[in-house]
Amino acid sequence: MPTWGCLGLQDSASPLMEQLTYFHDHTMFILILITTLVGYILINSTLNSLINRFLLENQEIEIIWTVLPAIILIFIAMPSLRLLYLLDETNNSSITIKTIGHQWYWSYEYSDFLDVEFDSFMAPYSIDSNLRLLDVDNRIPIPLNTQIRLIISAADVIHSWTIPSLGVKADAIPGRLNQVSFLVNRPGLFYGQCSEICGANHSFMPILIESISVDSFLNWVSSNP
Amino acid sequence: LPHVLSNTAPSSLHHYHLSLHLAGGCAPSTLTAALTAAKATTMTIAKPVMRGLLASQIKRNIIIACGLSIVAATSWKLLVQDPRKRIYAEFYKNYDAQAEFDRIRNLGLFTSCKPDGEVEE
Repeated sequence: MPTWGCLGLQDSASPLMEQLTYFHDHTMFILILITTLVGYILINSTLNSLINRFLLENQEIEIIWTVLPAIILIFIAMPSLRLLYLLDETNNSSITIKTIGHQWYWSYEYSDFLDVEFDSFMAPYSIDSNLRLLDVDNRIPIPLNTQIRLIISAADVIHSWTIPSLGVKADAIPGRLNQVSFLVNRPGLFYGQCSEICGANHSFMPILIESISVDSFLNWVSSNP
Repeated sequence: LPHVLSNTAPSSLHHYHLSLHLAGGCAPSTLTAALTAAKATTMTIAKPVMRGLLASQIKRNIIIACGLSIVAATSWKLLVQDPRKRIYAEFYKNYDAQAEFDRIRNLGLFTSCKPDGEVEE
Protein backbone atom coordinates (compact mmCIF):
# COMPACT_ATOMS: atom_id res chain seq x y z
CA MET A 1 0.00 0.00 0.00
CA PRO A 2 1.18 3.58 -0.45
CA THR A 3 2.67 5.39 2.52
CA TRP A 4 2.61 9.11 3.27
CA GLY A 5 4.43 11.18 0.64
CA CYS A 6 4.35 8.35 -1.89
CA LEU A 7 4.22 10.12 -5.25
CA GLY A 8 5.33 7.33 -7.56
CA LEU A 9 4.46 3.69 -8.03
CA GLN A 10 4.26 1.40 -5.01
CA ASP A 11 7.15 -0.96 -4.27
CA SER A 12 6.65 -4.01 -6.42
CA ALA A 13 5.93 -7.45 -5.03
CA SER A 14 5.98 -9.27 -8.35
CA PRO A 15 8.56 -9.59 -11.16
CA LEU A 16 6.19 -8.09 -13.74
CA MET A 17 5.51 -5.03 -11.61
CA GLU A 18 9.26 -4.61 -11.22
CA GLN A 19 9.60 -4.51 -15.01
CA LEU A 20 6.72 -2.06 -15.23
CA THR A 21 8.47 0.19 -12.71
CA TYR A 22 11.70 0.12 -14.71
CA PHE A 23 9.78 0.91 -17.90
CA HIS A 24 8.15 3.86 -16.16
CA ASP A 25 11.61 5.14 -15.19
CA HIS A 26 12.82 4.73 -18.78
CA THR A 27 9.84 6.66 -20.16
CA MET A 28 10.31 9.37 -17.53
CA PHE A 29 13.92 9.75 -18.71
CA ILE A 30 12.69 10.52 -22.22
CA LEU A 31 9.92 12.80 -20.97
CA ILE A 32 12.34 14.85 -18.87
CA LEU A 33 14.60 15.20 -21.92
CA ILE A 34 11.75 16.48 -24.08
CA THR A 35 10.14 18.70 -21.43
CA THR A 36 13.40 20.45 -20.55
CA LEU A 37 14.22 21.06 -24.21
CA VAL A 38 10.79 22.36 -25.12
CA GLY A 39 10.38 24.32 -21.88
CA TYR A 40 13.64 26.19 -22.31
CA ILE A 41 12.89 27.02 -25.97
CA LEU A 42 9.37 28.13 -24.99
CA ILE A 43 10.61 30.50 -22.30
CA ASN A 44 13.24 31.86 -24.61
CA SER A 45 10.74 32.47 -27.41
CA THR A 46 8.45 34.30 -25.01
CA LEU A 47 11.20 36.61 -23.78
CA ASN A 48 12.74 37.18 -27.21
CA SER A 49 12.37 40.62 -28.82
CA LEU A 50 13.63 39.54 -32.27
CA ILE A 51 11.40 38.14 -35.01
CA ASN A 52 12.15 36.39 -38.27
CA ARG A 53 10.40 38.28 -41.02
CA PHE A 54 11.17 35.61 -43.62
CA LEU A 55 9.97 32.56 -41.76
CA LEU A 56 8.13 30.58 -44.40
CA GLU A 57 8.36 26.93 -45.55
CA ASN A 58 11.53 26.05 -43.69
CA GLN A 59 12.04 22.52 -44.96
CA GLU A 60 15.02 21.71 -42.76
CA ILE A 61 13.29 22.39 -39.46
CA GLU A 62 10.15 20.57 -40.63
CA ILE A 63 12.20 17.47 -41.39
CA ILE A 64 14.03 17.70 -38.06
CA TRP A 65 10.92 18.00 -35.94
CA THR A 66 9.23 15.14 -37.75
CA VAL A 67 12.09 12.66 -37.75
CA LEU A 68 13.33 13.33 -34.22
CA PRO A 69 9.98 12.58 -32.49
CA ALA A 70 9.65 9.42 -34.60
CA ILE A 71 13.03 8.22 -33.37
CA ILE A 72 12.09 9.07 -29.79
CA LEU A 73 8.86 7.09 -30.13
CA ILE A 74 10.80 4.07 -31.34
CA PHE A 75 12.92 4.23 -28.19
CA ILE A 76 9.74 4.21 -26.12
CA ALA A 77 7.94 1.56 -28.16
CA MET A 78 10.66 -1.10 -28.07
CA PRO A 79 10.66 -1.77 -24.30
CA SER A 80 6.91 -1.16 -24.22
CA LEU A 81 6.16 -3.94 -26.70
CA ARG A 82 8.61 -6.27 -24.96
CA LEU A 83 6.74 -5.74 -21.69
CA LEU A 84 3.35 -6.02 -23.35
CA TYR A 85 4.14 -9.48 -24.67
CA LEU A 86 5.79 -10.48 -21.41
CA LEU A 87 2.60 -9.62 -19.51
CA ASP A 88 0.56 -11.77 -21.89
CA GLU A 89 2.70 -14.87 -21.68
CA THR A 90 0.87 -18.02 -20.77
CA ASN A 91 2.32 -19.93 -17.87
CA ASN A 92 1.30 -23.05 -16.04
CA SER A 93 -0.54 -21.74 -13.05
CA SER A 94 -0.63 -23.84 -9.92
CA ILE A 95 -3.84 -22.40 -8.54
CA THR A 96 -6.95 -20.88 -10.05
CA ILE A 97 -9.02 -18.45 -8.00
CA LYS A 98 -12.30 -16.97 -9.12
CA THR A 99 -13.36 -13.54 -8.04
CA ILE A 100 -16.76 -12.03 -8.63
CA GLY A 101 -17.62 -8.40 -8.11
CA HIS A 102 -20.89 -7.47 -6.52
CA GLN A 103 -22.43 -4.24 -5.36
CA TRP A 104 -20.50 -3.64 -3.13
CA TYR A 105 -18.18 -6.47 -2.15
CA TRP A 106 -16.01 -9.14 -3.72
CA SER A 107 -16.56 -12.88 -3.47
CA TYR A 108 -13.82 -15.44 -3.95
CA GLU A 109 -13.88 -19.12 -4.85
CA TYR A 110 -11.01 -21.56 -4.50
CA SER A 111 -12.48 -24.40 -6.54
CA ASP A 112 -9.24 -26.33 -7.06
CA PHE A 113 -9.46 -27.73 -3.58
CA LEU A 114 -12.37 -28.28 -1.30
CA ASP A 115 -14.57 -25.58 -2.77
CA VAL A 116 -13.67 -22.76 -0.45
CA GLU A 117 -15.92 -19.74 -0.98
CA PHE A 118 -16.27 -16.51 0.94
CA ASP A 119 -17.31 -12.89 0.61
CA SER A 120 -15.01 -9.99 1.35
CA PHE A 121 -16.61 -6.81 2.68
CA MET A 122 -14.85 -3.63 3.71
CA ALA A 123 -14.23 -3.67 7.46
CA PRO A 124 -15.83 -0.83 9.42
CA TYR A 125 -13.24 1.70 10.48
CA SER A 126 -11.85 1.44 13.97
CA ILE A 127 -9.29 4.06 14.89
CA ASP A 128 -6.72 1.83 16.56
CA SER A 129 -6.97 -1.41 14.67
CA ASN A 130 -7.18 -1.07 10.93
CA LEU A 131 -6.58 1.00 7.81
CA ARG A 132 -9.53 3.17 6.79
CA LEU A 133 -11.15 2.14 3.46
CA LEU A 134 -8.57 -0.60 2.91
CA ASP A 135 -9.20 -3.34 5.45
CA VAL A 136 -11.59 -6.20 4.80
CA ASP A 137 -13.23 -8.81 6.95
CA ASN A 138 -12.01 -11.83 4.94
CA ARG A 139 -8.65 -11.59 3.24
CA ILE A 140 -7.46 -13.57 0.22
CA PRO A 141 -4.62 -15.95 1.15
CA ILE A 142 -2.20 -16.57 -1.72
CA PRO A 143 0.81 -18.91 -1.62
CA LEU A 144 4.25 -17.28 -2.05
CA ASN A 145 6.29 -17.69 -5.24
CA THR A 146 3.45 -19.57 -6.91
CA GLN A 147 1.90 -18.75 -10.26
CA ILE A 148 -1.73 -17.79 -9.65
CA ARG A 149 -4.47 -17.65 -12.25
CA LEU A 150 -7.28 -15.28 -11.35
CA ILE A 151 -10.58 -15.39 -13.20
CA ILE A 152 -12.57 -12.25 -12.76
CA SER A 153 -16.21 -11.59 -13.40
CA ALA A 154 -19.12 -9.65 -11.96
CA ALA A 155 -22.67 -10.34 -10.91
CA ASP A 156 -24.33 -7.00 -11.52
CA VAL A 157 -22.43 -4.01 -12.90
CA ILE A 158 -18.86 -3.57 -14.11
CA HIS A 159 -16.21 -3.54 -11.38
CA SER A 160 -12.43 -3.75 -11.63
CA TRP A 161 -10.10 -5.90 -9.57
CA THR A 162 -6.64 -4.51 -8.96
CA ILE A 163 -3.57 -4.77 -6.76
CA PRO A 164 -1.14 -1.96 -7.74
CA SER A 165 1.94 -3.48 -6.12
CA LEU A 166 1.46 -6.65 -8.18
CA GLY A 167 0.79 -4.77 -11.41
CA VAL A 168 -2.58 -6.45 -11.85
CA LYS A 169 -5.79 -4.83 -13.01
CA ALA A 170 -8.70 -6.30 -14.92
CA ASP A 171 -12.31 -5.34 -15.35
CA ALA A 172 -14.98 -7.52 -13.82
CA ILE A 173 -17.71 -7.57 -16.44
CA PRO A 174 -21.03 -9.39 -16.04
CA GLY A 175 -21.31 -12.29 -18.44
CA ARG A 176 -17.57 -12.33 -19.19
CA LEU A 177 -14.55 -14.04 -17.70
CA ASN A 178 -11.29 -12.11 -17.66
CA GLN A 179 -8.09 -13.90 -16.76
CA VAL A 180 -4.96 -12.48 -15.17
CA SER A 181 -1.87 -14.30 -14.02
CA PHE A 182 0.56 -13.18 -11.37
CA LEU A 183 3.20 -14.32 -8.92
CA VAL A 184 3.91 -12.79 -5.52
CA ASN A 185 7.55 -13.00 -4.48
CA ARG A 186 7.30 -11.34 -1.07
CA PRO A 187 5.19 -12.26 1.96
CA GLY A 188 2.91 -9.61 3.37
CA LEU A 189 -0.34 -7.76 2.88
CA PHE A 190 -1.14 -6.19 -0.49
CA TYR A 191 -4.03 -3.79 -0.93
CA GLY A 192 -6.21 -2.74 -3.80
CA GLN A 193 -9.50 -0.96 -4.42
CA CYS A 194 -12.29 -1.36 -6.93
CA SER A 195 -11.28 0.55 -10.05
CA GLU A 196 -14.47 0.92 -12.05
CA ILE A 197 -17.34 3.12 -10.95
CA CYS A 198 -20.07 0.80 -9.79
CA GLY A 199 -22.48 2.81 -7.69
CA ALA A 200 -22.75 4.53 -4.35
CA ASN A 201 -20.21 2.39 -2.50
CA HIS A 202 -17.66 2.03 -5.28
CA SER A 203 -14.97 3.47 -2.99
CA PHE A 204 -15.86 1.04 -0.22
CA MET A 205 -15.08 -2.38 -1.68
CA PRO A 206 -11.36 -2.92 -1.19
CA ILE A 207 -9.23 -5.96 -1.95
CA LEU A 208 -6.67 -7.42 0.43
CA ILE A 209 -4.27 -10.23 -0.38
CA GLU A 210 -2.27 -12.13 2.25
CA SER A 211 0.84 -13.64 0.72
CA ILE A 212 1.79 -16.63 2.90
CA SER A 213 4.00 -19.71 2.68
CA VAL A 214 2.73 -22.71 0.73
CA ASP A 215 2.46 -24.82 3.90
CA SER A 216 0.38 -22.19 5.66
CA PHE A 217 -1.79 -21.83 2.60
CA LEU A 218 -2.47 -25.56 2.45
CA ASN A 219 -3.28 -25.55 6.16
CA TRP A 220 -5.69 -22.71 5.64
CA VAL A 221 -7.41 -24.40 2.72
CA SER A 222 -7.86 -27.66 4.60
CA SER A 223 -9.25 -25.84 7.64
CA ASN A 224 -11.78 -23.85 5.59
CA PRO A 225 -14.08 -26.27 3.82
CA LEU B 1 37.46 76.67 -37.44
CA PRO B 2 37.50 77.58 -41.20
CA HIS B 3 41.27 78.03 -40.74
CA VAL B 4 41.50 74.45 -39.43
CA LEU B 5 39.33 73.09 -42.23
CA SER B 6 41.43 74.56 -45.04
CA ASN B 7 44.55 73.07 -43.50
CA THR B 8 43.33 69.50 -43.35
CA ALA B 9 43.88 67.09 -46.24
CA PRO B 10 40.82 65.23 -47.65
CA SER B 11 42.19 61.80 -46.65
CA SER B 12 42.27 62.73 -43.03
CA LEU B 13 38.82 64.31 -43.03
CA HIS B 14 37.24 61.38 -41.16
CA HIS B 15 39.93 61.69 -38.53
CA TYR B 16 38.92 65.33 -38.22
CA HIS B 17 35.26 64.30 -37.74
CA LEU B 18 36.27 61.78 -35.15
CA SER B 19 38.48 64.30 -33.42
CA LEU B 20 35.66 66.86 -33.38
CA HIS B 21 33.41 64.26 -31.82
CA LEU B 22 36.05 63.31 -29.30
CA ALA B 23 36.75 66.93 -28.39
CA GLY B 24 33.06 67.65 -28.03
CA GLY B 25 33.62 70.63 -30.26
CA CYS B 26 34.55 72.85 -27.31
CA ALA B 27 37.92 74.44 -26.48
CA PRO B 28 40.34 75.08 -29.34
CA SER B 29 43.25 73.68 -27.31
CA THR B 30 41.41 70.36 -26.81
CA LEU B 31 40.50 70.26 -30.46
CA THR B 32 44.08 70.84 -31.49
CA ALA B 33 45.25 68.06 -29.18
CA ALA B 34 42.64 65.68 -30.55
CA LEU B 35 43.54 66.49 -34.13
CA THR B 36 47.16 65.83 -33.34
CA ALA B 37 46.30 62.47 -31.81
CA ALA B 38 44.14 61.59 -34.80
CA LYS B 39 46.92 62.38 -37.23
CA ALA B 40 49.46 60.39 -35.15
CA THR B 41 47.40 57.09 -34.77
CA THR B 42 44.60 55.44 -36.81
CA MET B 43 41.49 54.99 -34.64
CA THR B 44 38.51 52.98 -35.79
CA ILE B 45 35.82 51.17 -33.88
CA ALA B 46 34.57 47.70 -34.86
CA LYS B 47 31.53 47.68 -37.07
CA PRO B 48 28.58 46.50 -34.98
CA VAL B 49 26.83 43.28 -36.06
CA MET B 50 23.71 44.31 -37.91
CA ARG B 51 22.41 41.04 -39.36
CA GLY B 52 21.82 37.43 -38.40
CA LEU B 53 21.00 38.30 -34.78
CA LEU B 54 18.06 35.95 -34.50
CA ALA B 55 19.89 33.11 -36.22
CA SER B 56 22.89 33.36 -33.90
CA GLN B 57 20.61 33.65 -30.89
CA ILE B 58 18.65 30.58 -31.99
CA LYS B 59 21.82 28.58 -32.52
CA ARG B 60 23.13 29.54 -29.08
CA ASN B 61 19.81 28.81 -27.38
CA ILE B 62 19.37 25.43 -29.06
CA ILE B 63 22.82 24.38 -27.89
CA ILE B 64 22.01 25.53 -24.35
CA ALA B 65 18.59 23.79 -24.45
CA CYS B 66 20.10 20.51 -25.66
CA GLY B 67 22.78 20.71 -23.00
CA LEU B 68 20.25 21.44 -20.23
CA SER B 69 17.97 18.60 -21.31
CA ILE B 70 20.85 16.11 -21.43
CA VAL B 71 21.94 17.22 -17.95
CA ALA B 72 18.39 16.90 -16.57
CA ALA B 73 17.81 13.47 -18.12
CA THR B 74 21.22 12.20 -17.03
CA SER B 75 20.50 13.42 -13.48
CA TRP B 76 17.26 11.43 -13.47
CA LYS B 77 19.10 8.35 -14.68
CA LEU B 78 21.96 8.65 -12.20
CA LEU B 79 19.92 9.75 -9.18
CA VAL B 80 16.69 7.76 -9.59
CA GLN B 81 16.68 5.11 -12.31
CA ASP B 82 19.98 3.32 -11.69
CA PRO B 83 19.77 3.47 -7.86
CA ARG B 84 16.27 1.98 -8.00
CA LYS B 85 17.51 -1.03 -10.01
CA ARG B 86 20.45 -1.41 -7.65
CA ILE B 87 18.20 -1.28 -4.57
CA TYR B 88 15.89 -3.97 -5.95
CA ALA B 89 18.84 -6.18 -6.91
CA GLU B 90 20.38 -5.85 -3.45
CA PHE B 91 17.05 -6.45 -1.74
CA TYR B 92 16.44 -9.71 -3.55
CA LYS B 93 20.07 -10.90 -3.59
CA ASN B 94 19.96 -12.49 -0.13
CA TYR B 95 16.23 -12.33 0.47
CA ASP B 96 14.81 -15.09 2.62
CA ALA B 97 11.08 -15.10 1.95
CA GLN B 98 10.37 -17.81 4.53
CA ALA B 99 12.15 -15.91 7.31
CA GLU B 100 10.30 -12.74 6.39
CA PHE B 101 7.01 -14.64 6.34
CA ASP B 102 7.71 -16.07 9.83
CA ARG B 103 8.58 -12.61 11.12
CA ILE B 104 5.33 -11.09 9.84
CA ARG B 105 3.31 -14.08 11.04
CA ASN B 106 4.76 -13.85 14.55
CA LEU B 107 3.78 -10.19 14.65
CA GLY B 108 0.19 -11.39 14.35
CA LEU B 109 -0.49 -9.55 11.08
CA PHE B 110 -1.94 -12.50 9.17
CA THR B 111 -5.44 -13.83 9.76
CA SER B 112 -5.00 -17.07 7.81
CA CYS B 113 -2.12 -18.30 9.97
CA LYS B 114 -1.37 -17.81 13.62
CA PRO B 115 1.89 -16.82 15.34
CA ASP B 116 4.07 -19.52 16.90
CA GLY B 117 2.63 -20.70 20.14
CA GLU B 118 -0.93 -19.72 19.42
CA VAL B 119 -3.46 -22.48 18.98
CA GLU B 120 -5.75 -22.49 15.95
CA GLU B 121 -9.38 -22.00 16.95
